[in-house]
Amino acid sequence: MEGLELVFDGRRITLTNKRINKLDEFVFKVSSLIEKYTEYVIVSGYVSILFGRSRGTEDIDFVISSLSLEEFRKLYEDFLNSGFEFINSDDPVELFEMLIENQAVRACEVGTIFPNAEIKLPKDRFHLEALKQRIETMINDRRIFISPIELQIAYKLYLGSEKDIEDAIFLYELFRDHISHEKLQYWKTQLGVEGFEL
Amino acid sequence: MNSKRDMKERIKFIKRYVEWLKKTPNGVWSAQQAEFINALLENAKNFPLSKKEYLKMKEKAKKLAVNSVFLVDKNIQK
Repeated sequence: MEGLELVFDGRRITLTNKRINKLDEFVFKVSSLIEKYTEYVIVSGYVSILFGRSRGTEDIDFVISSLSLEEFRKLYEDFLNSGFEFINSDDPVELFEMLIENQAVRACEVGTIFPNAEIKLPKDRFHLEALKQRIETMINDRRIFISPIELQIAYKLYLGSEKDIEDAIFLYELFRDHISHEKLQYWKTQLGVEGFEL
Repeated sequence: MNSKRDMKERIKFIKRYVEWLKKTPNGVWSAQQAEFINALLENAKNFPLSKKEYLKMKEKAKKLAVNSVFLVDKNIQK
């Protein structure tokens, strides 16, 4: 039998024959709603879980490109019509104001809290770069966009909790033969974690 | 000290786990992962937490995280 079925050409990752779990299903639903209105990139824990890390998460971080209030209203209505609700507020204007004040809004399926999508605008240049350089990722026949692996590893080291460092090591070990080590070093330096040996 | 040793052990485990992952067909590891994640999410339904309590908990966690990266943060050129 073949091993891990994963193809990475720098701009695109393809993962085939993956058994889709409930977290993946949730991510596919949220992604397909957001991408109708704006660009997005998934950052943080789900990226490592997607590729096999054996841990759960309660929230999935979506960084989105800016959108107008009207576009956000449409996105909000679409979420509601698709069986979602927002945890923070029922008022789209209030939610929009939260977004532009750099706070995250959280969407979950009606009657649940876990998992939830933490949706936010870019809060720093690392988020902006993640959006700009997002990686198209095919899981079986579904498409999502995730943060560049090099930036994801460095950012996890920067966040620095035990869980984050484990995620960084997981991604590094899995992708070490595919990623640009120069880019990784660049992001580590930018984030002040260049001294961390992986 | 114990925490450091535990971390070393966990890192060793992650490295071994990735080696296993690389040798294992997607259908196999993802089936195990799906069972695990689906069970976690199923179990989470029984967790008695209101939206308000959840947001409060996240706010507290965020404050703690900000404090923990404070020393690193001053080195960042935004």
